[in-house]
Amino acid sequence: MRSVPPASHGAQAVGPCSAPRSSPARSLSPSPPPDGRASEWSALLEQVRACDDYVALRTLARRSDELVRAAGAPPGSVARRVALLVGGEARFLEAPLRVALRAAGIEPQLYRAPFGPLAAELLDPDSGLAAFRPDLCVVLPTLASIGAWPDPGDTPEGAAAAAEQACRDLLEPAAAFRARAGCDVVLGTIPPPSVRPLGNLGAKRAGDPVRFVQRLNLELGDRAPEGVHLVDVAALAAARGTRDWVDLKYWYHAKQPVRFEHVPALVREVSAVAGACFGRARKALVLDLDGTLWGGLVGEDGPGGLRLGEGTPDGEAFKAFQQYVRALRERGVVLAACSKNDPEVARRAFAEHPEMVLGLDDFASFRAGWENKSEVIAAIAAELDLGLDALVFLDDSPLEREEVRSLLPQVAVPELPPDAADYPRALERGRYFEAVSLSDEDRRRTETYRARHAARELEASAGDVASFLRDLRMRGRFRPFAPVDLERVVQLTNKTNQFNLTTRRTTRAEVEARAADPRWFTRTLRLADRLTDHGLVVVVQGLVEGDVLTLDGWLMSCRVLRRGVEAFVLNEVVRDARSLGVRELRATWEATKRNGMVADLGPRLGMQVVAEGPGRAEWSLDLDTFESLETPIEREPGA
Amino acid sequence: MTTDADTELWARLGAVFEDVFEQEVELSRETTAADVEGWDSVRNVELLVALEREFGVRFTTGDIATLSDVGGLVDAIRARAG
Repeated sequence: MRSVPPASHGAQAVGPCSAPRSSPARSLSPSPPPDGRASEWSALLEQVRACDDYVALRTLARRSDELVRAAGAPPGSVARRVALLVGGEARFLEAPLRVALRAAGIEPQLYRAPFGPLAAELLDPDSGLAAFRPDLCVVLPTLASIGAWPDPGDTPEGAAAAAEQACRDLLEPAAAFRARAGCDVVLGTIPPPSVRPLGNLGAKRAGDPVRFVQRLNLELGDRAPEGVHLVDVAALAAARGTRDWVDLKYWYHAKQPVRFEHVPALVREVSAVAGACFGRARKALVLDLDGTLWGGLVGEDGPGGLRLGEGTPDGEAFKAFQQYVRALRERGVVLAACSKNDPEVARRAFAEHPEMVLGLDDFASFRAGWENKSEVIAAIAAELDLGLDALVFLDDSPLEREEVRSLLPQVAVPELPPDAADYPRALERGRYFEAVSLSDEDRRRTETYRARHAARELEASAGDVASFLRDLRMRGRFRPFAPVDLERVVQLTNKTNQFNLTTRRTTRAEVEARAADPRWFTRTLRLADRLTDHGLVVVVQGLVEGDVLTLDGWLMSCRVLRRGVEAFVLNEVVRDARSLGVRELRATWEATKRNGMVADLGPRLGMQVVAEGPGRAEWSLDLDTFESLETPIEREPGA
Repeated sequence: MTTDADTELWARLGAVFEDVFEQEVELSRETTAADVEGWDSVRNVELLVALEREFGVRFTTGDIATLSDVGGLVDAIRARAG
C-alpha cells in the first residue's frame, strides 16, 4: 500500500529554514520582481542555454562579456578559476565555454593552455597551468592526443595492452595534477576516427582504430580515479555524427578541434559537468500531472479514462516517461507534483490507475489545488528547503510555463514538445541533473524529505517542542572524517548556504588532505531518529595550534534544523578538543546573503563575543569553564 | 571595370565579413589579415566556413595554405564555384 501523502493545499507547510510560519504564502510569493539587471541576465542566459548556433552563441558571448563589465557577474553565480586544455587549438572553445559556464551558474576566470602535449602542461610544475592554480581543470583530448596506436593486425591482447597504455597516458597526468594542485579534473572521452581502413571487418579486429578508441574510452570510464570526472564527448559526437565531428581541412590548417556547428553542444556538456563539480546542478523536478504524466484530464475523464500504459500509443509514451522520471527519482532527484486539480481527484489517479508507474510516495511534495503555479512552486521550494534555482518545472501547458518563467526566473522551465514520446529527451536536453558522483544520501533523498515532513506533522501535534524532540529519540555519531564520508563532506561544503558559518567551499583533494593532517580537527555528525536515518548532516573543521582550536567552518544540513543539534555538536567538539589538550575554542561568522540564521550562533551557545562588525563576528569559548549543554540527542560512540 | 557578377560577389563578401567581424570592413583585393581588427586564426576559420556556406563552395586544404589576401579569397571562391 502506498503511504498517504502530506495533506497540502496551496502554500502550506513552510519549511523550517524559511520565513516565519505566520505569513507563509506572502513571504514566499515571487515578489519583489527581479531588478532590471537580474532580468537582463536571466533573459540572456536563457538564450545561451537554448542556443545551438555557433554564430549566435558567439554574439551572446560578446554581449555577456559586455554585461559583466557594465554590471558585474550574473546574480547568484559563483566565481571560479577554470583551466582549459585541448588536444588542439583551445582558442576555438574559449569564448563559447566562458558563456556556457556563465549559463551554468559559474562566473569563470579562464586559463587557456597553449597548444601542445596535454601531459606536459599537466605534469610540469612550472607550467602556466600550475601558476594559474585553477579550481577546475577541463581537459579535452583529441585523436592527436593518443600517442601509440595498435597495429591493425594486432592480437586482442596486444590491442588491449595498447588501450590500457593510452588510457594511463591520459589519466596519470590528470591524476598527478589533481594530487598536486588539489583541483578536480573534467576529462573528455575521444570521438573515434571518421575513416576505417579495415571497413566493416574492423568491427571484429581488435587492432581496428575505431574499436581501439572505443576501448580506450571504456578504459577511461573504468579507471578514472576520484576527482577525475568524465564528459562523454564521444557519445555527443556519436549523437551528432562522428564522421563530421572534425573538419580535417581546418584541423590541418589551424588545429580546430571540432566543427563550429558542434561547439555549442560541446561547451554545454562540459559546463553541465563543471556545474555539477561545484554543486550547481538542480535537485528537484516539479511535475504537472494532466497532459504531463498522462494523457487526458483526471478531473473530467476519471482515473479509468486516462491514457497511460499499453492500449494507446500515447499511453505507452506517457508510461515510458513516468519510468524515466522514476529512474531520476531513484538516482536522487527529488520529485514534487504541482497540478490544478481537486486534491482528492489527483490522488485517486495514482491510487486507482492500474498502469501508473509513479506512486504518491515518489513525491516529496504533492500539491493539487487552484492557486497560481508560481505561488505553489515557491511554497514547494520552501517546504523542501531548496532554493528556487534548484528546481526544474515541467508542464505541457505553454501558459503555465510562461507564468512560472516570468514570475520565478530562477526556476528552469524547459519547453515541452507536443508529443509525450519526446518528453524524456526534452527534459534531458537541459542537463539539469548532472552529477559527478552518487552518494547513498542522494539515493535516499526522497525518503528523507518525506520523513522530515512526517516529523513536522508530529511536531505540530506534539504540543511542546522539548517533548517532541525527546520523542524522536535522536542518536548522533560524531567522529573524524572517514574515507566513506569524504564524498558527502565535499558535497555539503559546496551546497550548504544557510547554516554555514564561513561558507568556505572545499574540493575533494583539500578534504582528503585535511583528513590526513594531524593539525586539522575534522569531524562529521551522522544523525538518526526513530523516523529516518538522516545520514551525514554536520561538518566541522578547524586547526589546532597549541591549546587553541580555531574553527575554519561549521555547517549543517538544513534538514535537521531546530532539533538541538547545535548544542550536541558543541558538546562533542569540546569533548574531543579537550582530549587534544585544547583550552580555547574560537569561531568566526562571515556573512553571506543566506547565512543570517547563524549570525548569533556563538552567543546562543554561550560563547563570548570577541569582535563584531558588519558582516562578521568572532567568538571564543573557554573550555576550562564550559559545562555541557542540554540536548535531546543521545551520543553514539564514534567508529 | 567591373561586371555585375563582380559587384554582386563583392557585396556578398562584404556582408560575410560584417557578420564575422561584427563591424563593417572596407575590402579590396589587397586587404590582408593585418588590416582588419580581430582577424586572428580563429576568426580566419570562422570567415572561411562562412564564405563556404555563403557561396556554396568547398575550399581545399591547398587553397587555404596559399591564401594571403582578400584577392586570393576571391579567386579561390571563383575557382571553386567553377
